[in-house]
Amino acid sequence: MNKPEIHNSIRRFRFEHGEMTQEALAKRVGVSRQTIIALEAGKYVPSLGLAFRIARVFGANIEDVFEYME
Amino acid sequence: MNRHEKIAWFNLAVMVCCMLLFAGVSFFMLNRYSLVYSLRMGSSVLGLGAFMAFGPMIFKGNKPADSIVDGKRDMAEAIIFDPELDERDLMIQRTARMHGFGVLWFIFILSLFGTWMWKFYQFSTNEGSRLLTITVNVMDLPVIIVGSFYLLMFVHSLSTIMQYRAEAVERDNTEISFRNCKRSLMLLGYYVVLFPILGVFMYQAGIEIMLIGLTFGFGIMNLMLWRTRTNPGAVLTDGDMWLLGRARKIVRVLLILLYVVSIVMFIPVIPDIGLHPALLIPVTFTIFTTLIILTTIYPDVRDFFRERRHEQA
Repeated sequence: MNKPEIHNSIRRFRFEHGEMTQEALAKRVGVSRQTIIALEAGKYVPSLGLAFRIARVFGANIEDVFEYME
Repeated sequence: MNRHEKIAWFNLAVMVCCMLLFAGVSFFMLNRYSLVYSLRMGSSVLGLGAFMAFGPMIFKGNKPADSIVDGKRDMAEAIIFDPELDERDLMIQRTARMHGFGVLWFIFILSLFGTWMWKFYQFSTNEGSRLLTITVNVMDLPVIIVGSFYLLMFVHSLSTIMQYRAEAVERDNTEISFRNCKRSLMLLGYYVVLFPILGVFMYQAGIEIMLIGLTFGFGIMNLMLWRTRTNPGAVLTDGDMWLLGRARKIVRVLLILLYVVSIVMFIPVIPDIGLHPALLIPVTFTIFTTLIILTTIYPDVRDFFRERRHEQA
C-alpha cells in the first residue's frame, strides 16, 4: 500500500484572492505565518478545524482546498 | 528562526553554562576537599538553571494572546508555556514534552536496573538471605531532582529544535526508507560488535551477571531500535499485520510460561534445574523485544529495496 498524502492548493487560492499574503491568511485563521508556510510546503497536516477555517476564508469547499491522495 | 527555537537554544545555552560552572567549581574545590564533597558543593550552581525561565521573556513574540482563534487551544498550556502557541506549535511542544518525560522514565528504569545488576553479584546464597541496601545522602536528593529537570529540559529543547528543523528538510519516500533502514541495520550491527566486548567485561563479575547484563542490554537496545522507526506515513501491509499478530501471540504464550515457571521454581520441593530465576525476566524481555523489533524492522528494509527496484525499473 502506498503512503496516503494530503495535498493542498492554499498558495493558488491565496493568489486568486487578491494576492493575499501568508501573514494575512495566518491572522484570519488564527495561526502563525510559519504554520502557513509549513502547510503550503506540505510539511504539516492541519487539524480539521483549521482546514475548515482556511476553506471558509477562501469561500470554497474543503475538498477544493485539500485533496486526499492514495 | 522561530521564537520557540530561539527559546530552546537559549535553554541549551543556559544548561551548558551551568554544567561548565559546576565542573569549574567542583574542580576548584578538589584542592581542599574530597571528590564527592567537591561535586556536592559544585552542584549548588545548578540552581542557576532557573534562568531558563527568562527565555520566553527575552524572546517576546509580537502577537497578542487574544488574537489566537483556536477553539481547541489548551488554556493551561497556553498560560504556562506561551500564550502565542498555535496548533502546530502546541503539537510540537506536546511532542517535545512527551520525549522529555519518556527519556526521563527510561533513564530512571535504567538506573534502577543498573544498580540492581551492580549489587546483585554480592548476594550470596551460602550466607543465606541477606538484604542488600544502598545509602543515599539526603543532601543528594535535591540534586537528583535538579538533574532530572536538566535532563527533561535538555531533551525537550533538543526535540523542539529537531522538529522545527526537520520540517525544513526536503524529503521523499526513498530518503525516509533509506534513513530508517540504515538506522535499523546500524543498531543491529551494535549487537555483533558491542555485546561480545560487554560480555568479556562482565565475565569478571561472573557468568550469571554477564548473561543478565547482556540480555538486559540487548532488550534495551531493542527498545531503542524500535523507537528509531520514525516513518509516520508507513502503512503496514496485511502481511506485516499477520507477522506482528503471530509475534504477539508467541510473546503472550512466553509470558504465561514465564509466570508458570517462575512460580514452579520457587517451590522448594522442585529440584534445582540450574537456571537462576533472575535470568527468566531478562531472557523473556529480550525474546519479546527481539520479536517486536524484527517485525518492525522488516517493513523498512523491504520498502527500501522495493523503492530501489522501482527506481531502477
